[in-house]
Amino acid sequence: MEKIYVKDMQKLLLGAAEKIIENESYLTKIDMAIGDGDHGIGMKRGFTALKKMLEDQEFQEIDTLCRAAGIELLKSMGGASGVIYGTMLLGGIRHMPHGPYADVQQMISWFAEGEASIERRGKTKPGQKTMLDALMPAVTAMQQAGKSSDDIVQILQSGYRGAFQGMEDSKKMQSRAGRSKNFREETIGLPDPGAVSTSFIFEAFAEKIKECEEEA
Amino acid sequence: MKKLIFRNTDQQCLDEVLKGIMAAQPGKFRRIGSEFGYTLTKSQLRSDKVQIIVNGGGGRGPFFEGLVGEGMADAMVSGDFNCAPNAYMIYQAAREIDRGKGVFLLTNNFMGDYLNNDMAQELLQAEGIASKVCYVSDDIYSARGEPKECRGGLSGIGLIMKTASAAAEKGASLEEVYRIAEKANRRIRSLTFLYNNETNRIEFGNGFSGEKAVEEIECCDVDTIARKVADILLGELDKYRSDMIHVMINRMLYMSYAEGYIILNALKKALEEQKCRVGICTTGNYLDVFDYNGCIVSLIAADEELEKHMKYVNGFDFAI
Repeated sequence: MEKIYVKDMQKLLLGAAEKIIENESYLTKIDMAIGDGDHGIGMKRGFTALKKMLEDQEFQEIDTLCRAAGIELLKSMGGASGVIYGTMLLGGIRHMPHGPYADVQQMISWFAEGEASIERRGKTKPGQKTMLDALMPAVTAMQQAGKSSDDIVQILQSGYRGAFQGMEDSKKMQSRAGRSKNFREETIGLPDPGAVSTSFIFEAFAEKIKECEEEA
Repeated sequence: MKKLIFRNTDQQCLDEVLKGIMAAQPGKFRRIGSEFGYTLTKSQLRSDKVQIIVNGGGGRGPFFEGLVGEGMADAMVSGDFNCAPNAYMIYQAAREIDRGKGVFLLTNNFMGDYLNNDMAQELLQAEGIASKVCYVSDDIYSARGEPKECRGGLSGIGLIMKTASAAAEKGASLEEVYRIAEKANRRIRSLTFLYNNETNRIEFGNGFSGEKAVEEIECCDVDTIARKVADILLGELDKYRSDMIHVMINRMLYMSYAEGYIILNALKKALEEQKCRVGICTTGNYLDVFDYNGCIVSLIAADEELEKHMKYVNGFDFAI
């Protein structure tokens, strides 16, 4: 697959929403240990709203879909998560065409600028034990894979491997941002809850794109 | 953190808190609806002043649901329990109450609150609505080793709110309200101490998300504790300590009314022993995120300008 069509993107986002909803209690458990315990519930709320929106509406253009999804997360989630995951989808929206599909490079640029926007707004860099520690390696892996491949399935699978590895690596880090920084060295050994969520999202993307390919 | 026993469903709790507040003071408030956050505004807004919105996590005492009123905020936006309200709600509230003089946003300095207020500002700017945000950073035990502006906020936000509100009511511009609030924030320090009944010790510096104590001492008489608190906070206030010191003691969930005043008395004495000029002293249950017998002590050092904005402010069932 060299292009991702709006209906497939909608399935990807829906898959991500379902994955987050399913894993709410796990996310809550990790956040209770090193954060304030609101991450799982907040994410579930936002991604439930997103799921409902995706089930109720149809979209003709891929940028309209991604923008609507980002706004839905922004509106429905409090805490840091609404802004962060909203920005992940909205930050690079200019790379998404106002048309029925995006190509590989457009999709990678969309993710990359979303990541950069989170860094800018959060005044945070990868390495501080945040969701960026999964998102950044996901983006890097997709950019790397995108140099030799036009296959969206491969690209998103690389993205997931990057996100998962990044989440694993976040276990070794000491938190430097957000509330959890006050837990200091106690944060070492546990993954960052935001990085876990990000890994789940990319896991769903990788699974769903495979399904889309098989259906096609 | 304490689970609410007397409730219907978890989802209904905060909505019903606001309905209860409105029932207790009929005609005073207006709701702006959303299923994803909680906004209360004054029903009568003055149109000739900067509007003040205080915002933060929900469900934990008068902070923030009870902070709309005379001498306080013009609106409040709260998120779920312990969770920052989302940017869209803050933006919506600001757009609703702005009367052309701009909106001053006041929140505690946590990542979620920062991100949402920052994003709300961006949304407001796109519509030409002027806004400023002050991120309160009074918690001396947070962000250790980092500059003061990196610290989180505790209950000191109540004192900053009344300062900003008094300035706005006297006709200060948005820039002025912001400058005064920032000055108040530079001159405020808070600490927590609580009794741990498992160890019979007094712990200092517990954070409200379970961050561990920074220091602990044997349980002892309150004058000794008050002297220690005065020492720490005056040390933190440093060059401001010769200004007028106002005191606010926030009782945690399981501290009694009597203990609040006993500590207030002891602290006033301890401050006077250190040759401080002590102004307004209050104690109340403002923020009940801590499931302990303990309190948050806030000191603000007011210079001549801030002193003009310092007065008792009465909420429905508390005074700041």
